[in-house]
Amino acid sequence: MTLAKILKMCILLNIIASTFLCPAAKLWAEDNYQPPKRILALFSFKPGLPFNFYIEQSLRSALASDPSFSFILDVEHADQSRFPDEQYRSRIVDLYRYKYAKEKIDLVLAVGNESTDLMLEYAEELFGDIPVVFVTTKSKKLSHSLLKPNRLSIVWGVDLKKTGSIIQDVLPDGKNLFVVSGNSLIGRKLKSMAMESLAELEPQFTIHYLDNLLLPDLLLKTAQLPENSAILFLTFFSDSSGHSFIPQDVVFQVSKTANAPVFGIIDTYLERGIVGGNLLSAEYQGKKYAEISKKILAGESLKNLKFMGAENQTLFNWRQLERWSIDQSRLPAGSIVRYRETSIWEDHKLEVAGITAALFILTFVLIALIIQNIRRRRAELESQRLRDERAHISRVLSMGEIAASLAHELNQPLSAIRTYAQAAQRFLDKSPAEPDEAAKSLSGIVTANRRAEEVIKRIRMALKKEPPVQISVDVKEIISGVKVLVRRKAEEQNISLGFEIADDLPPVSGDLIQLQQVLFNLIINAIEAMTDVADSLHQIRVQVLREKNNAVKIVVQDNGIGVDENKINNLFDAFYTTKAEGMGMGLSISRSIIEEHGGQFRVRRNYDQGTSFSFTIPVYEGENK
Amino acid sequence: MSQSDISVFIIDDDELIRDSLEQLIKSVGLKAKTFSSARAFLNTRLADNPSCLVTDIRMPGMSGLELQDELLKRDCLIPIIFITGHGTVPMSVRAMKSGAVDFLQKPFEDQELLDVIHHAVEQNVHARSEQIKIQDLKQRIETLSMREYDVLIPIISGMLNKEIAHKLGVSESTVKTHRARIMQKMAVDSFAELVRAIEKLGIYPVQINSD
Repeated sequence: MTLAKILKMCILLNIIASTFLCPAAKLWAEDNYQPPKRILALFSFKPGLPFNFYIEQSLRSALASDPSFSFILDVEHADQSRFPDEQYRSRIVDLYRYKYAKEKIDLVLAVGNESTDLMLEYAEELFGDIPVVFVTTKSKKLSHSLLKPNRLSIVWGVDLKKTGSIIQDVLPDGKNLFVVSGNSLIGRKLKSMAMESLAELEPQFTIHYLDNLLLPDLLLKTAQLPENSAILFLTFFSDSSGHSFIPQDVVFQVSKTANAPVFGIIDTYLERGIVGGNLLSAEYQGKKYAEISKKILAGESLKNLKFMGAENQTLFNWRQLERWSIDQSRLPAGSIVRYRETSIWEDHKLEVAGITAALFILTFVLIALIIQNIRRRRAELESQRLRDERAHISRVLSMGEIAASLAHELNQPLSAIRTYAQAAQRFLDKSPAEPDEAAKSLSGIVTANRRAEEVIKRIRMALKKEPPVQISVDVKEIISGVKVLVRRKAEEQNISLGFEIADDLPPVSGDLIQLQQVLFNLIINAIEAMTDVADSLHQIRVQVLREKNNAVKIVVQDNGIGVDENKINNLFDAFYTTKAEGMGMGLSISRSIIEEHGGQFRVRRNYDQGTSFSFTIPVYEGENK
Repeated sequence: MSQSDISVFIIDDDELIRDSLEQLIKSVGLKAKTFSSARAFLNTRLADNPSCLVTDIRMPGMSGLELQDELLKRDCLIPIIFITGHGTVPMSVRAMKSGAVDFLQKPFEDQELLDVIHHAVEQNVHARSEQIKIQDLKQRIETLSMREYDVLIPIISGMLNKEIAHKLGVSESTVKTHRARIMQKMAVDSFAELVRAIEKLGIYPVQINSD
């Protein structure tokens, strides 16, 4: 018998078996049929909030984990925190009365203070005498006497005291704590809770409350906090203009742009970029509700079910701990660190060790055989590399590119000159004429003219070919020279190019033209890296900062395709490129220029998207050094 | 509307462009106020007079198009004129679709810009007076009693007094009295005027089945 025949037999047997077995299973199920239990979860908030969504998901999957438990889960979002008025309340009660008149609900879960209030009043009228579980914050803890025998109250809430002490633990040098709460009703409640709970942090921390702000202003403020600051993000349902927001979205933006670590209060913030805190967990809550619901529906007396505390977890985001260089030994005992990035070595120790050993042996043999050959080839490659890369730099800085930027840069002052001139004419033609205003316009023409001359001067300087010299160089000079050359290209590609230059930068020691070449290369490279990314928000940020070790650091940060971590080192190889047009940027030449200047050249993957290239240049310390 | 009541706001990150535009606008007797970024403009409380906005499209931080979106979100009626060094067709199409008044490429003739500004301000004056009318109607409709409101809806749907009286279970003369009160409170003289006013408020008559 051939293999194919055996296979066919197997399939046939399978079909026969399932044909006989299936009806039996059906019969059995019909005999033991029990109607599914109907559970109604009533949330206080509007639909679509991630926190509710995760609770619902966790609740549903925990209920479904037991296949013999058959249930239907209805979910309502009362949305009362947005509409606290009486009229709305009576309307939703009417709606529920209508909806659930024919559906018999077996258990109600009232999640949140508003739902609890609603169900305390209407549960019996709407659903009859069925068990109701209330989930409320501590401040609203329901006394036993208030509750009928088939009612159970669970406490949830955020522990701001704990989060406060965590902030103190992990930031021993912290001085300022900025508390974000937004302008909603809940925001205000949380703010007043914070005012009480965070009092213990003083006097080490000065506590500031950032409310009554528009979202853009909040982002602006949190991006410019003084040193040794931290942010506690409570919530943000609406801003001072009354626009409503989803807190998870806001916390994501704040964490991204803030210049200080952000702490939070619920676990869904964690993946959106907060450092951590004592967090109320949606997943845990959902699981607990499922557990309690099952017990109640199985007939367990509510008296035996104990009250449940908030049971929040102390969670941290590993990437954020790294970003803010927070010492992990400072985390309180029992903390859980999520999103830790493990290396291949940590994940597959045995495999890696085995492969490495095998490779070692192979390599050893190979090396012995070809070492001489390589030596000879390497010398050839090296000289070719230098030739190619020099050629490339001059290609990038080609006349066409320079002519185009020249035209673009001159267009601004020329356009201004024309407008000024026309304004001056109009001022003089007026009756009576306004010679003072006309004079102002004319002096505007002079300023615009000077700027045009400046543009020409800079481009001429960038073209000069002089042997490298090490003299005192103004960092602003480096930047402004390069800006003129790259601005047009960035605008053409619809890339926003921002420069952030620290005040009072000291002069650095080096060769202006060479340093400009390095920066020019990095920016052109970043622009090219982004042309392949289909994202509407293309951004390049160039930051110039003072480093502690007597150096100035220039960072070019893009949000392009990013560089594979493993390939970062390849970038410096003479012929390595990911681009179709070829050589790219001559990174190795840039690096060697910086090393010759006594600085350091670094490539880093941004924690969210894109790549950062940075280099340092030593501060100029006078002739005799 | 006198010339000096009109404000022209200018946003450009380039001081030269900003300043030269300010001079040009001042030279024809209009008020001009300049901002170096869209953000700075958004943070300013605007006086309540006819105005328009002249802005660069590409600026560091918030771009002109993003500013346009933000203003739409805030229900701000100010007409926008975009200026750009090198506009692309898709960009100008997008801007015009979102209600921009015009899209000028640098360098442009002074008269061209001034004409566009006048056109924009006229448009703004019209939009503002429409808004005031609607505001007034909103206040008027608030003064209607519940009963009058009950009568109003069938009236504008074209039901006859008799039908309304039957539907609401009241006498025809009561309906007539309500109708007269409604016309008085809404300050209209005819049925057609009433329907137009109600439509302005975004309420449209529904066909009511006479069951």
